[in-house]
Amino acid sequence: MGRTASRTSSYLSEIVANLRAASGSSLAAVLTIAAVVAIFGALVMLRATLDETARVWERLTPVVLFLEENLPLPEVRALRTRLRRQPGVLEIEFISKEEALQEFQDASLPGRAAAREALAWLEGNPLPASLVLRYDQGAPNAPAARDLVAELATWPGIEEVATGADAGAPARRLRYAFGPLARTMGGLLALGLLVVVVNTVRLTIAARGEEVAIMRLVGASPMFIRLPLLCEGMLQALAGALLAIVFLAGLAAAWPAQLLPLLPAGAAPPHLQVLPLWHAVGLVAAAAALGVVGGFVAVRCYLKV
Amino acid sequence: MSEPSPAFQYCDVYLAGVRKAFGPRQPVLVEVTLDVLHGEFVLLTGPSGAGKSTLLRLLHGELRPDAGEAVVLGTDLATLRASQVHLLRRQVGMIFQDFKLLPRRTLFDNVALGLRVLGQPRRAIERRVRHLLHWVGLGRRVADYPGSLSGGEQQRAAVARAVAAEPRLLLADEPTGNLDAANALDILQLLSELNLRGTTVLLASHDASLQQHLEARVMTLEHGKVLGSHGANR
Repeated sequence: MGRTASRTSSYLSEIVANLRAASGSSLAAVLTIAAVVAIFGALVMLRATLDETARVWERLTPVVLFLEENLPLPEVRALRTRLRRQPGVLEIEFISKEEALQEFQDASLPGRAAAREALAWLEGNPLPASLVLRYDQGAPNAPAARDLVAELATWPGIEEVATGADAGAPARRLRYAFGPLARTMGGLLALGLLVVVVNTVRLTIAARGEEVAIMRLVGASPMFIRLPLLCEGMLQALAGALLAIVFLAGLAAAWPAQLLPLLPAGAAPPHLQVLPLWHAVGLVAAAAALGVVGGFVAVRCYLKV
Repeated sequence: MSEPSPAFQYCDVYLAGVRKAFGPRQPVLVEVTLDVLHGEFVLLTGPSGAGKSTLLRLLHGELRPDAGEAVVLGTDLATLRASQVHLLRRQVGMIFQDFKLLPRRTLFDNVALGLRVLGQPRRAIERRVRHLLHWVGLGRRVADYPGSLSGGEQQRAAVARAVAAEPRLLLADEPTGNLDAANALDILQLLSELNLRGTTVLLASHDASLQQHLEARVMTLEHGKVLGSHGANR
């Protein structure tokens, strides 16, 4: 136990000596790794944000149930209660004939002017009352929901069922297009991180050449010399990754408000996703593993023991 | 490491017909045959370029013989794998003409290095290093850096480092080469003390007059060959 503790302490002091020997390059490496991991983490966050945005926008996709003419209010209530029991239904909004007309008249979409004129020639209000359903998490696109929409058309009291345009589609398309780009960039960033670690450990080896030679002369085992260098690569990557995670958390907390003006008018604001915990842990672990690999490559290529 | 052969059980160093060359036209050791017994003090002398340093580097596992038989503390150097050299070096201390102390580490850390690589407990290292630095007369300078020490003091620190792990064999390559007479005598005194306590010492020096201050067997190496030996222990 005492010997193990002593050996560990010796390794730790060697790691500290290594970091001191090339402190400038070690710091530069940590900051570079932090930048690399932050970029990768930002890509992960962007992907998660697009996912979440697609989900949020999908909820905006309405299913409109046009009701039969003069359907009594108790039957509308019964229909509403029955609809509420259906899975995935987030909210139900009743729009009366009068409200529908008012809404139609207020709308200033292109092409509606002529329709408004035609409406003025008609007697009374030809627009039906309706129930507008909003579904949870893209339900209008899910097979079960599509079945429900088809079934709703057969329900008594419902004249016609119409589904609105899939509001989540643009975000989903962006997210699918983003996938290969993120993978390519991730690969390049991982390679960059590896190169940074290899070169930093190489600098340490050069800076400590004399010490390493003397350690060999006094009987240091190859492992005693190599292990601290491997750990150095890992520690740099670990420190850089943790720094990046802290930065990304700060970014997620501070920036959503500044992103809102960039959104198209009328779009629901996306929630900038904080890096999920298991993604953050995975990023740190992957960076540490790359650090070990980088240290190993440097030791293998540049350290003669 | 291989087990000591019965044939060498009284020898710490056994060389028979050892050759070493750096390139085809640079033979350094030519048919070197010698042995050093347990507890012996051997002064290996000869002019510069005779091959003394090469011989010591070979005995320290830094170089491999091109031909011949070379056994150090029961280890056959010809078959010693690179990954096992450190095991030999833990039993063979070495002192250099240029001290080879780490300039950015204190005397304590320099001496402790040989014990740290063995994974010795911190308290044991502390005790041993303080004892050794006191023994070489540097007990009050444990926290000093080598750059603040005289040549003689640095060489004494180097002696302390070389013997910290209690090696069975101590190799000294021109340890007095950079020192004045008084400091050189101090170093010889330390080496003699170590030898009296049982450590085998092989000291290489171009200065044959050192034998006046030592009770040592003297071997002369010239042009890569041992010309003969005479003196104390035999």
